[in-house]
Amino acid sequence: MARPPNSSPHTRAVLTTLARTHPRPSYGYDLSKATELKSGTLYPILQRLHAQGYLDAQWEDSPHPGKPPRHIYTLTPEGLELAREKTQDTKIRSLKGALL
Amino acid sequence: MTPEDWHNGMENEAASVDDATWAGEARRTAWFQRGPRVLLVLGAALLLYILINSVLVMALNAFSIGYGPQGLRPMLLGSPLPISLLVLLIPCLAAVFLVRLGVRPALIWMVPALGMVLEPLIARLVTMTLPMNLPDAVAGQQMDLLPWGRIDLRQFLLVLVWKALAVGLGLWLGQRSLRKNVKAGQVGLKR
Repeated sequence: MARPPNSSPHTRAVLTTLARTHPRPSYGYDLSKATELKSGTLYPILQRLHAQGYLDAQWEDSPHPGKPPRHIYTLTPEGLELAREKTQDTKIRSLKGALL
Repeated sequence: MTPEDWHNGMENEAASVDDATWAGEARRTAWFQRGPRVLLVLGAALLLYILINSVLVMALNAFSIGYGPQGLRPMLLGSPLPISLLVLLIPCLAAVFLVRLGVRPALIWMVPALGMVLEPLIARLVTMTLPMNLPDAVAGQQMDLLPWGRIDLRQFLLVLVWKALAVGLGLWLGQRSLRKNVKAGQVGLKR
């Protein structure tokens, strides 16, 4: 059976982490460390969420001279809603798992 | 955000953190995400490079057997200009354009190097003959415009060194022209 979109454990981890820090933006490195996802897994998820309108990606100038600008990521209102849904799903699943 | 923005985002993130292991992994990911586009650009550049070189060789050979404006003969055949054009100018221009397209310098060297390997093979496969058009030519005598023969290794290496120097010059010119547009580039990055 096909899995609903954005319901993989990795995507849920990214959404949960972004929702936890919302509305403060996150860097790719911090997300990677918080979710324990490698950049090869994390960035395709961020790109997909951005393309679907769930994630806002902006450039931010580095405060350190000589360092390049960085991407910062924030959930859009739709993304925040999705993150809440997915967190709810996870809670229901864990509850079912505990009962059965 | 364009694919290029995502690529730059990953490269910049790698350059902004002190975690060398993570940075190396992020750079590898960025490279592999960009790989197919780079391969396409390099493939197209190689094809164009071989095509331009082959057409120039054919045009020069046709000129040398009496076709085209023969008044230019002393200038074209008695000067180093045509060879300089082939050996220096084309690799240099190719490098400038590829730098501007964002291809890494280490990959740009491959275009003239592979071109030098593939051109003799193409010359061996393609035969394009024309009858000699010179007043003292034997009637019906033909000449292949893309001739092939044994490759003199010493000459091959010498040309390769000259082409490498030309590519080096092209890389410098390309990067210099990119630096000139750095302000415009930064505006583009903040899009």
